[in-house]
Amino acid sequence: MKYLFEIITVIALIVFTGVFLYTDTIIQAAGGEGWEGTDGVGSEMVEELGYEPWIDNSDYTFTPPSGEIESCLFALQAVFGGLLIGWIFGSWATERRIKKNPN
Amino acid sequence: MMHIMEGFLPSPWWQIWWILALPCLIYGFYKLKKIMETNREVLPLLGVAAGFIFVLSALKLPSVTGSCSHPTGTALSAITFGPWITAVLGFIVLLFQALFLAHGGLTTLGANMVSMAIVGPFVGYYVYRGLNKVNVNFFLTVFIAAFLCDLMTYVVTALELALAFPAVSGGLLASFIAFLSVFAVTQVPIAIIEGLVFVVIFKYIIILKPDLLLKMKVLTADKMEKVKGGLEE
Repeated sequence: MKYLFEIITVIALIVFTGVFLYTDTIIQAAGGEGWEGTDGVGSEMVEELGYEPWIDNSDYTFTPPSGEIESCLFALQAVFGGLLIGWIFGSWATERRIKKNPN
Repeated sequence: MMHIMEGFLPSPWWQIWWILALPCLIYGFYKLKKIMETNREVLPLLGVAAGFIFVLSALKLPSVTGSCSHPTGTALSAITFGPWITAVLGFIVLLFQALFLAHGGLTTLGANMVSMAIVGPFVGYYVYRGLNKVNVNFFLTVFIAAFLCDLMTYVVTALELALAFPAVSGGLLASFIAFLSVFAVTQVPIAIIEGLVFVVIFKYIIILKPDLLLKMKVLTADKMEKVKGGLEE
């Protein structure tokens, strides 16, 4: 099985997506909003104890003014990583091809 | 998401985690400098390892519990370069997210580094080395190491919050379990996916650049031959 690991990974991703869709229908049916980040959920637990955060990101830089801007910055982070990976894997693949077939 | 948000760790906890993180970070910079001076041909692999931390920690994935969480992406770096250098790479990502994304913050950076960039990679690295020594299948070893590397990050986050906020009734343990149920349960499916993704990544690195893994002593020469032989069947 040449592509065994790829196949297992794709199956796992499909199951993962299926579970997401199934959970989502339950959450939607219950009228809930769901799908917050776990750090938000964790922070809410702490706030329920009556704790007030004593400093905020906007005290020294800023909090992204909207969800769109936040996604934009996250996408930039991913693009930077993706470029690094693509460029290096690309040069490795070329190097290997030239070694195999010097013409 | 493993970030502890800005302001959510009171004194003295944020200082304690910073004090624990700082020596690891400094030793990491020293190790990184050494690799840059003496072993320049492995730098592309370091770039790939950093790239995966950037990409994977930018993804927020929905999980079974109805909330979203990040993979950490630290396994490739932890297995090949060890936990110290991973601490530096994790620091860069966490600093970016603290300054521009309001995910985590400068005071909680120490705690977030300990969980994502230090303890997680440490566990991944030693689990990999340990299983490799007792000759468990290479790809299974990578899967288990990457899975634990991710999951331990969240276990440590839960512990950090529990230490700062022990429950009134039940104390540390009760609040540890409560935070664990938020962070770790959500993380299990994501950690499985992350483990599988790193298995595929290692497969391609072995196909394209096996000599770099030999150089970093991830595998010995005979083992590499065996793993490669297994891939060609």
